[in-house]
Amino acid sequence: MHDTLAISRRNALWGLVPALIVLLLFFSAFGIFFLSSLQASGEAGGLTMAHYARYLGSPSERDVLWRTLWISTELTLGSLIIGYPMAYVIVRSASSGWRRFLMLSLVVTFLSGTVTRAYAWLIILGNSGLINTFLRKTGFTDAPVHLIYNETGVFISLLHFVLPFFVLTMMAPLKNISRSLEDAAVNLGASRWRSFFLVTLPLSVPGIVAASSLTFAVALSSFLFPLVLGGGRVRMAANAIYELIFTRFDLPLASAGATVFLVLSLFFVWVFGMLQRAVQLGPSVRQQ
Amino acid sequence: MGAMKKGVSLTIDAVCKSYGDVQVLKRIALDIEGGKALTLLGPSGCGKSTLLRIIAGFVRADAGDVRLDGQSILPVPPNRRETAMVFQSYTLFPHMSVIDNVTFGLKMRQVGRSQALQRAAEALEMVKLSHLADRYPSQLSGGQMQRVALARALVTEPRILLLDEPFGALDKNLREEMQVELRKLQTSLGVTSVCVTHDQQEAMVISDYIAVMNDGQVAQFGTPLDIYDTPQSEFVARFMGGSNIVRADVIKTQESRCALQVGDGRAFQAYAGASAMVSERKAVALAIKPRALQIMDMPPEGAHVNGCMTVSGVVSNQVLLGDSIAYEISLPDGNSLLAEVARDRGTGIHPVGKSVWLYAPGEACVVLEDGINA
Amino acid sequence: MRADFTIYSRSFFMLALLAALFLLLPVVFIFLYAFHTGAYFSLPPEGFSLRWFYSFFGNERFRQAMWVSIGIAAIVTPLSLLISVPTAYSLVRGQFRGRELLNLFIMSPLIIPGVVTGIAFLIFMSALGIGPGFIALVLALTCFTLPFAVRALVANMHGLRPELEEAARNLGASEASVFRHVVLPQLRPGLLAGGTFVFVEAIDNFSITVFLTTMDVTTLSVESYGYIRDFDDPTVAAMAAVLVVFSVILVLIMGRVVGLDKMFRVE
Repeated sequence: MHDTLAISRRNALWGLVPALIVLLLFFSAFGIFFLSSLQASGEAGGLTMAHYARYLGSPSERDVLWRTLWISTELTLGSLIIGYPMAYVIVRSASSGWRRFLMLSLVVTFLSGTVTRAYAWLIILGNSGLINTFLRKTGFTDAPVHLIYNETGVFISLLHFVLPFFVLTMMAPLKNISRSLEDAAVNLGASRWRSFFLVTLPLSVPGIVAASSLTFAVALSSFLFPLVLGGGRVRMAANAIYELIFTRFDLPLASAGATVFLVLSLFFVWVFGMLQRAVQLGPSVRQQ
Repeated sequence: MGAMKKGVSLTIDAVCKSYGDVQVLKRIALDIEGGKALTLLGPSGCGKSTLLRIIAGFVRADAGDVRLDGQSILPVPPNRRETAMVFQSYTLFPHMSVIDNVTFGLKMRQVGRSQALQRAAEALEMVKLSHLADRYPSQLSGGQMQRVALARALVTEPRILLLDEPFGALDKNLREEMQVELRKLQTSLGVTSVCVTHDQQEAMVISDYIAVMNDGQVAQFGTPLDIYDTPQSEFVARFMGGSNIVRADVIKTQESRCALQVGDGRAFQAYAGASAMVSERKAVALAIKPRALQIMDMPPEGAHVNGCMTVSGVVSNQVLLGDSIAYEISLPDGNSLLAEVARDRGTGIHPVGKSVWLYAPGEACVVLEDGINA
Repeated sequence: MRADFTIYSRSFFMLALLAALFLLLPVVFIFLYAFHTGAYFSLPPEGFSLRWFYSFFGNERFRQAMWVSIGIAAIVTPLSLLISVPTAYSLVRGQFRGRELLNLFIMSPLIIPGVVTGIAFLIFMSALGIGPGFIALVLALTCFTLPFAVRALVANMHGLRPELEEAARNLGASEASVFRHVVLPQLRPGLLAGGTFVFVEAIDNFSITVFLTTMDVTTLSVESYGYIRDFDDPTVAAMAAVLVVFSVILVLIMGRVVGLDKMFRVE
């Protein structure tokens, strides 16, 4: 940054006052929340780690954590497989018509609300919904295919939710890969696919890591879609915490669980950050 | 490097291309024999890059044909045409070392590893960069990168070498150095090449033939000297630079010669050119090189100015160029002419404001056609 | 006019198209379903009807929820933007130790799962004696949406040409002046993009709002969730249709004003 553009430290700090107030508010809320996880139950008061022991010791809670990590990984991979071609075509398309159509589908998805989409999936995937009715009428099946109130429905609806995050984050890094590089590869004899695997893909890796990082983080904190589409059978971490408060009324355990979950999320943010730095420094990939 | 294939001839036959309503190329026809260097020269938007990309296979022509050694290459996909290209910038694969970049084309052609490495080493030797084989593009300067790009293209022994403004991103001195090197490489290897540029200086250095393009058509085709000395239209004269353009009245025409008069100077004869357009016109544009103009203190008389164009004017500016002096002379009709005169110890410098007479032999005055060669 | 060589293969293009159709499926479906005569899905559809729109607008609780949601968004959006502008400016143009760390903190609400934020605020608000309700919702959502706005504005500011600010400084303008007259006018794309995300999130958020609503104060998202659970007719579809149309119009208008490409590059 040019030194001439820098503003004085005083002004900079004053400018941050509103944000600092917000942060104060935010972290106070968390402070109290965090404290409640350490509070010993009973009148004795004082701090204890017992709730953490309970949480981490409970096989069902641990199972929820594993499941959350696993589904988030599947979702990230799914977004990569479907989302990368979409981002690539948007960036490289010569036809502005198709490009606008693809972008439109992304924008519309963002604007269409989450509860409404969850409801839409219930009807589309339900036993007497769009897909099953279609299959029945065309004679493919007699019995309904169970697509909701199980992991399938949760996965489909979540994939739909996280996909735009992946695609939008993937577009900028792809745009930074100069088209001449791909043209040069073809010009030197590579087929489209070889040009993709030998030139485009290696150069997209940092972008893929960045997009995956965001997608994974969003997937981890899923709450609504497992709630609506899971029928109580699919609990991800956020749902488990919700239940601990509103069904089991065990606030200390819930906040212990939330803290563990938070640490886990931050851990993965850190891991992805390390990964991104590793792929950026590895080969000397500085765009000319 | 091994024996280069004998130079491949290139024929561009009535190629047309439109994007939507805009016609980018209008029936382009060009022909060069093998081993020659053709430059497509013109301002941006004239279609030269599009034509190059049609040869490379990235753009599909709407009509017409492109033939190498008589055989059409249009049905061949771009990765099989053997038309290696050097791009303007962002050319080297940043995630591969220099040697991996250079062997890339050979890898695509299933050349064995040891043979590929040997050929790549020879190619790098040719561009004098053997010592950088294990570096990465981010560690190279702009000039070094373009040299590697050249080696990468040439190592595949292409039938045609294509260059898209290859030195545009380099600074002036480096550019001139690279132009000379490119010319040397091209002639020693005997590879047919097509280069796109907007810099007429560059075109002069590197070409056997120049096709000056404007608005989707070839304005003039010929050797660099032909085009420089004898521009056929005002566009070409202005684009190539270095010519005065002066209006002359037509007194009479007779077959291929015509009698002209500039301002109120003497009548003189000039070659009217191949087309018969002149006979229908009252005035033409003339291109005269500054060095062809002589300056005199008094109205030109005598035998030595027989058959010369003459005109009178006033000195409005003088620039000392070292071995010569450039004078700007204002004419009565408001236009001005540039005259470049060798500086003798003997003759003085004409001061600003002095009335002078200019004269130039009739042969040095090139009649410009109005329109562009179709 | 013949098509030029494309760098991606047909199968890539098909995958991209499939992805787009997948994305559009629920939105288009719910939009059409809103006009369905019957209360349950049937193929072929029973007929065209506006009854569910009447049902939605006629529903007392939905109407109330709509006003609450609009009210919250109307307060949170300008508030968030107002706070984010000086924040983004200080983050981008300021030079002080701990800037990176501060940036991380400001962005942190995005990483923390909504449920956790919701519960934390519930406890906090109760501890403060405010309890769940309108104020709690405004505070929580402002905190949560601030990173969206800051991120959009920071991206906008990174793209500004430094020469304009330098020239102003050169001519003697004070920092405040430079900000007001040179930087602020250029922030339109960032404000619009940030504002859109904040507005959409404020109306649509579920995971935080579900903890902070009360019997009297609910938002559209929480109310519709309850409705889905208890009933099963297309009233919610009608609500969805209205929201989608409204949002699309909003984005189209802003796209005209600023340019859609610019808006999404800002993201």
